[in-house]
Amino acid sequence: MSVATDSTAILDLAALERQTGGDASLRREIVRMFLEDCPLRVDAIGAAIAAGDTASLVSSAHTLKGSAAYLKASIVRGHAADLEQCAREGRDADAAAVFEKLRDAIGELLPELHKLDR
Amino acid sequence: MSSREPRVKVLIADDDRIAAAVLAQTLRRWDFDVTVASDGAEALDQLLAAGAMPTLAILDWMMPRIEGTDVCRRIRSEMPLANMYLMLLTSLESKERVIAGLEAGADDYLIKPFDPEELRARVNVGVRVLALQERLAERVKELQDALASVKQLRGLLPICSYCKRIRADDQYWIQVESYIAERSNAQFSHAICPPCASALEREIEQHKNNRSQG
Repeated sequence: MSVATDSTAILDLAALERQTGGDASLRREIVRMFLEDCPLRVDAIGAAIAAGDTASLVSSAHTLKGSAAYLKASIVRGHAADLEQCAREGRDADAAAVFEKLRDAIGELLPELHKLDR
Repeated sequence: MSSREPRVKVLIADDDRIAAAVLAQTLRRWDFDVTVASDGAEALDQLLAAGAMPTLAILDWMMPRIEGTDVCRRIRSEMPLANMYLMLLTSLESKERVIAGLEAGADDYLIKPFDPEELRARVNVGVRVLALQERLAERVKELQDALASVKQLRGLLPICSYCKRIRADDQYWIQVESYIAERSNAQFSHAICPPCASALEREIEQHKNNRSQG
C-alpha cells in the first residue's frame, strides 16, 4: 500500500507507517509511550522556563523533539526544536511564546494519538 | 533477513525510549541480537564488558551522564584493538558536527529520525567491516601460532651423528622427522633415495652370496 506523506499534518500516518516498517504493535507501543511521556515533558519544560533552568529546558525540549520526530508529528517536532534553540541562545521571552504554540500543537496531536491507541 | 551465524550484536544507546524502541524493533526484525542502554554510562559499561566480541553500537549524541562522542573516545582509548563499529545518532546535520563525531572515534553517523532504508544500508557496511576485521584477527592469530612453532626450530640441536635422532627438550632422543613434525606444519612421506637404494642392493647381494657360500 502506498500512501502519500504529508509533512504539514499534525500527524503523518503514512510516514509513521514507513518509519515503523508496517509493524502495528511497534506503532501502538510508541504511541502509548508518547501519551505517557508527553505530559511529563510538558511539565518539565514549563518548570524549566519558570525557573530559568536552561540546561533542563534544552534537555526536555530536545527529547520531545526526538520523540515527535519518530511519531512523524512534524508541527510538535518543529516547535520543540524552536524551543530548544531559544534555550540554547538564551532567548527567554521567545521561549515562553514558543512554549504556548507547542502546547496548542500537542493539544491537537493527543486526540489523534488516542485514536491510534484504541 | 539472512542466514548469517552467529547473529551480529548491536547495542543501542538512547535516553529517548521511543527512539530506542523504534531502532531496536527495526533491527530485531532484521535478525540482529539487540540490547538497549538508556544513557551513555550504561552504554560504555556494556561495550567495555563486550571485550573481544564484535559489536556494532548505535549511540545517541546527546545523552545523560556521558555523551555519545565521549563513549566513542573512551572505547577507542581504552580498547584500541576491540572490534567495534560505532555509529553516532545526531539530530543536526552540520559539517562541523560530522567531523567532530568522526574525530571522536565514530565510524559513521545517522541523522535522527533515521530513514529505515538508509539505516539498513549503513548497518550492513558496519557488519561487513566487523566481519573483515574478525577474519583479519584470525589470520594474525594463525600467523602468530606459525611463528611460535618456527621459533622452536631455532637454536642448537643435539643430534646423534650415527642414527640422526635429536635430543628434545624432555631429554628423550626422537626421530628427526618426529621432532620437526611436532614443531612445524611439515609432514614427511617416506622413500629411499638412489644412493641408499644402491647401497641396500649391494648389501642384499652380499647377504645372498654369503648364504650361498655357507
